[in-house]
Amino acid sequence: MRTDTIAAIATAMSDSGIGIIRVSGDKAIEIVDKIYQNVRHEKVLKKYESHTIHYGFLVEEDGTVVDEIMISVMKAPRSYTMEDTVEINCHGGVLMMQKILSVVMKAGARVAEPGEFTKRAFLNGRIDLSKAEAVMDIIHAKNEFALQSSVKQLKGSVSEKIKNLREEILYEIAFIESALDDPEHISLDGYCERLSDKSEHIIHELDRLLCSADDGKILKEGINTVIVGKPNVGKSSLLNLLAGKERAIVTDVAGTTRDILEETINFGHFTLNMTDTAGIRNTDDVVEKIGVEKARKISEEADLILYVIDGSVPLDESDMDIIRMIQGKNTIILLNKSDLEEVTDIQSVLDIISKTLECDVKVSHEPSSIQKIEGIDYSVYIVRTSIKNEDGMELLSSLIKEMFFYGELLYNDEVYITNIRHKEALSDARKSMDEVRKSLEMNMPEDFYSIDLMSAYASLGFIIGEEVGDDLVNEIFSKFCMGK
Amino acid sequence: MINLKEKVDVCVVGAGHAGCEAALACARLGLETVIFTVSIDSVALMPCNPNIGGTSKGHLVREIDALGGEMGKNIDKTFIQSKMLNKSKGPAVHSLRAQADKADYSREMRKVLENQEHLTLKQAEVCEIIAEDYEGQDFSGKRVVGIKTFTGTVYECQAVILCTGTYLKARCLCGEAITYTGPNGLQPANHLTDSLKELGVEMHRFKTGTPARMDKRSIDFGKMEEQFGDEKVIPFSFTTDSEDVQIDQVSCWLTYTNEKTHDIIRNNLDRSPIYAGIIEGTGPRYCPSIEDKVVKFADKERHQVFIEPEGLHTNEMYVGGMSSSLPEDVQLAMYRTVPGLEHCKIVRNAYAIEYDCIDSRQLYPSLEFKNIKGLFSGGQFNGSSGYEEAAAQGLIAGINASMSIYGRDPLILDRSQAYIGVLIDDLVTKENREPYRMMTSRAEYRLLLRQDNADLRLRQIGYEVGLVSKDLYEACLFKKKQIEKEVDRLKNTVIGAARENQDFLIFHGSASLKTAATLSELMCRPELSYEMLSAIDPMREVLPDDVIEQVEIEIKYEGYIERQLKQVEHYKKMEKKKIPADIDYNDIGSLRLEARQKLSVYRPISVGQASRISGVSPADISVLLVYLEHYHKKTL
Repeated sequence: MRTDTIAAIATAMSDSGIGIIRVSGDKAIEIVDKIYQNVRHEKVLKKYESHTIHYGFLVEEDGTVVDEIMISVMKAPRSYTMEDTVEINCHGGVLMMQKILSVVMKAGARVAEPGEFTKRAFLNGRIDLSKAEAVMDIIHAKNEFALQSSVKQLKGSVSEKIKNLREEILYEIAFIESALDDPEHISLDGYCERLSDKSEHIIHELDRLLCSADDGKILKEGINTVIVGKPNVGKSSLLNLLAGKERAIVTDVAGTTRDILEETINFGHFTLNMTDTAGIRNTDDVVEKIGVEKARKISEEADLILYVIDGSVPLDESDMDIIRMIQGKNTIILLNKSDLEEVTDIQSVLDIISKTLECDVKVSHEPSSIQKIEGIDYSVYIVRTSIKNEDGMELLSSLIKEMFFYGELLYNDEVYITNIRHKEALSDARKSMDEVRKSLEMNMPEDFYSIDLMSAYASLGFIIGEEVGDDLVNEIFSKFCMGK
Repeated sequence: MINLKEKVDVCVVGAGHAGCEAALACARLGLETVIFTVSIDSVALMPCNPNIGGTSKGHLVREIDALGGEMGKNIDKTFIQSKMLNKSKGPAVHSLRAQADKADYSREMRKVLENQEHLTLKQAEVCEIIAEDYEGQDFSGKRVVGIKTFTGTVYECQAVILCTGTYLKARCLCGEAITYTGPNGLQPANHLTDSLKELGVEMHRFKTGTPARMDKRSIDFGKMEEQFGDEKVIPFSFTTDSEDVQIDQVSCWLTYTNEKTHDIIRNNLDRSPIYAGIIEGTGPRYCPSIEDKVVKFADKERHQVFIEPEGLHTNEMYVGGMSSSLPEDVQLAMYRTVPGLEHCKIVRNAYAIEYDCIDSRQLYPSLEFKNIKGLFSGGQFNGSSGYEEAAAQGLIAGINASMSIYGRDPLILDRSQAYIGVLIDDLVTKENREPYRMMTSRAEYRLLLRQDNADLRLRQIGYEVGLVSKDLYEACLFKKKQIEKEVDRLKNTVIGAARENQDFLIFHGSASLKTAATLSELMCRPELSYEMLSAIDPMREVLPDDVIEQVEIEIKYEGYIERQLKQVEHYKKMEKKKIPADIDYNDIGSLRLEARQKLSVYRPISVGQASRISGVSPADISVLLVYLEHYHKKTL
């Protein structure tokens, strides 16, 4: 089962400055050697040491120079795929990259299937399954900033979290087992309470992971954005505008109730997980109250609040409620309906914030289309917009980008379980932990707990492609006194 | 020199616990067998602790018995105290342990060997394994054709089973005093190692130790806690009549070390051969010397010390928990700090012993050497420790040597069938840097591998092998039926909410019934047992205790047993994927180099076994699985 040599364009298919063609496999060096020349027109690729980079030319087999290139050589196993790998850094541009790729094909490589480099990295033992899957996600991620989060998962945020949980479980198993094998030194007195607390904690963590994987709902990384405001200020128009303008709705999932609408929107460089809420106003209406309560809850979990104010009407008590509700949240206030006569100006917004939060907020005196509110310890900006006329949307987009780069907005780095395989394993682990809890409630002898703890441990291992191995015995010896 | 030449079927080297089981198995299966020992008076010697069984080891003894081995029967004849350990815990970890009269144990086993048909006991040191080159259909390498003793006699045979224990190039250390002897000052075996190395066998050096023995008359038992045996003794063997083991038992005694003890040890560590670096061998982590305990667990203020009789006809007492290789003067001072031992007199000093053993990954799970056909091994020679571990391997090696001679498939127990399966799989698969001891934690499916159901698990296998009689096998089948029938009845017998039933439940502190329930549902309540329920179960037949025990466990722990069975199902998937013997791992380009090397050297028989080899990653296993798919398609 020798592996053949594969090649693909590794950078985005866009007209950027530099492009990279990656070639990997047993014959990577041999193949590229056929089409590479150094400045003295020599064929010397094979002589280069691993992890070096060289200047030269890419030539067709008849000698025609195709492009000026830099070439890096990474020999097995010290490459991403753990195979011999050559990367050709060429001039960017879709046509140039495709041309070079076709030259590489002619020299003997074949086009890699989507994700094949990663598959090889996994098969060669370079990365574990969840990392491999994150890379697959990268390949499918259209949005350029989603890459950052996918990269995070690649570094192992899922693996990390699962590994931590497994370690916690393993410790408990090891403790129980040590006590069984060495009752002289390890006492199980009072252990059940400790395990009970630990189980609750683990179940809680599993639930959180599971939540993010709810019933086939695609929960991609993105900025959790919530639109709030009084009724009829233009919230829904804003959502429609953002969604419609970009024509890039990834999903359109109705919320749990009709008064909450969620959409995933590609806006500029970002994915926004948008939630539109019911208009908030002081009311005695039961149904509306429920809607308001939901908006409050959702706002609590938001990364970014878009607070829409109708500039053509005065502010009132409901606005104060909203300001209180979103206190502490990164917020962009859209002072909307700038196409109409201005009744509420920036100063009145500042006044009502000062009054509501009992502080003194102001904006810098320099006139600007985007104003940052100073005097509170979280980020609030004001932008003037006319959603109806589509005014201010570029401003909004660049503002979000800026907030992100200045670290005011965190891209959602929570661990998401988006994979069915992961999800099943997670719920298996969850079920096993439930059994542990039941055993504890029934006062079963301690040795019964480890049966289900072991299952939970194995299920979690399944996610990151690790099986139950020698870990237990080693854990026992490393952590506990064993004596006969 | 004219040498004698004899011709037999099997030669067993060593008559310890492994050798005895191996030789008996072969002879009982009808093969002419010779068992060699350096001292006929030391057959089935217990050179360390005076007991058989204990946590997880008790399971091994039960399994040996179910398969038709001798250890359980022999301890039933010679025990002087017996106890079921861990009774407060779940049934999976209940473990039987019996104190043995060491001399009696040895004598009784010798009697069994001496009277076994087809078996000859021979005092001689085996010096050489004779092998020839061999080209077979599925194997090319060496094949055993005989052995040679120190006196030059050659025994031609078809299989050799090595059970040399701690005797190979043995060396005993007591502080600065080093003697080149086997345990108890017995003659070591100094030549066999070289012969094995010549055959390409890779040798290791391990170390173990034993505490001092004391004169009973010098011990003040008034300062110790008396440890009694169980009121009702349960025999080890499934064939022993329970009435026969209700004997007068002797007591053991519990005392503790203290800071004074630990100070003496700490102040003299430089005189310990281990800490002075004189000992090369690796000792067991789980059975540390008292020096190790004091150093490694410095925060412990005291350690348990068990004083156990070595037999009924001796004053020697074993000092459990205080094995040591410190010099004699330090030993005496240290022991005398322990309450009750202030005036103790040492009969035999504690010592450490070093010996040659093998890297057991050179063996197949049948315990046959991968590179030498017909050569089998068991016991401490394979890098294990403990009498029970040794006996278990000896039995399997004996069975498989016989199976190989008869051209039958080897008996390989897997991890879901028996502790013996776990033991051997661990030995032949995992890297083992210290003497291997059985522990409950090593068995993943231990709720299924209980000591109480060893017969239900293994009787049939013993019968198929030929070591269990038809009568015993049929008795076991009958027991199974009784259990099934009774479980079935309990599941289908409905108890209504009648007055007397409610009164019964309330009386036993159990919630009263709102709707009808089955008897089995009631049995699942922790506060109710099968026995209690007899009051509301008039239709019940009288059943033997061992049947009731099984019924109770099956019903009470049904959910757990089911879940464990699921785990087994998952495990078996990988075990069932066999790897062809002629596979060339160098053909599989995607395997990492380390994995390729390890797999080539250790040649696992299944993907499951491959996955347990250290250095073989889950990714390697995926590659292997993919390759095997292709391989099978190709060969079809």
